[in-house]
Amino acid sequence: MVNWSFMRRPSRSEGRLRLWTLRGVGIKAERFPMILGMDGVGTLYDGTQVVVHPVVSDPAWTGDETLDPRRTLLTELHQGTFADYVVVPARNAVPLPDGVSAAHGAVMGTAWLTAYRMLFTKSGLRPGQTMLVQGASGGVSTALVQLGRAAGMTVWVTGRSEEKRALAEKLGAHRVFPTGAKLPSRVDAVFESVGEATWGHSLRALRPGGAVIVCGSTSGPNPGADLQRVFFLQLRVEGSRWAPGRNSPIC
Amino acid sequence: MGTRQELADLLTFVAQSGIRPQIGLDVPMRDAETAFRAMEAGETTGKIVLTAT
Repeated sequence: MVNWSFMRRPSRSEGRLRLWTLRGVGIKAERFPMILGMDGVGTLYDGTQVVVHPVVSDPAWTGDETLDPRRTLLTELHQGTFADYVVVPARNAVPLPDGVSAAHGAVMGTAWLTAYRMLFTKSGLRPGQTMLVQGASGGVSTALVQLGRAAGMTVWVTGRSEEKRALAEKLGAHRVFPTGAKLPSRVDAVFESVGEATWGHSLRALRPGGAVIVCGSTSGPNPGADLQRVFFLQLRVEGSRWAPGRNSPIC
Repeated sequence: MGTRQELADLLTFVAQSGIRPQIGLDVPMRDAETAFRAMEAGETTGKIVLTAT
């Protein structure tokens, strides 16, 4: 039996994903009614403020929870955070550090966590290297820009509009470019969530031995593979799971 | 998504580095419908936070 934690008066954040859930995407029909909300900050009965970790693994699973074939994300099986009281397994309540507000903590559990894993666990980038983020304004992209800048990477971003590129610059991007633009030099890693519209550009942007980390394919999942480039330049393609369900058009 | 440990490490990094996510809208839970409509219409930049009152 797992210990479950109760928390009260939560703050929680919403991304576009929840609109898909409302439309029935990524969730089985028999699971409804389902309370929405994967992210959240709440207060345990002992007064501890905690951030919800939305990946619920099997009690018997040890190691990387995201790799447990039986794991679910909050709102897939267990009720979500849009409630006055929220219940999660005790290990899914992570203490909120001093100095971070509840509102800021409430947006960390999905988009920011995805960006953190892509950047620090998957990419192999070291401070001083150059990263390219395809797409300027999404939740994962903006988190990648802020995390990469803070960690000492050189951060380049492509965006479709002047407004989106200005946002990336405001958040810390060193250089911004229109989507598909020729870059001044090759980069060490590319962060992809766009898919068909940018994939070719992503592969062409990489130095030999570089890596593309992909967490989504909003413009379509089947771009040309450009395999000769992949093996000739010894590129690495690394998948990293975002949040939505298997059938979701945004993953 | 990521592991519990990655989330704990992310929170520590955010606390120590001073970076903070951009909040586009912070509204009480009872205004959730307004928040969803604003998100669907693309009227906000940054995260939407709903707070229990």
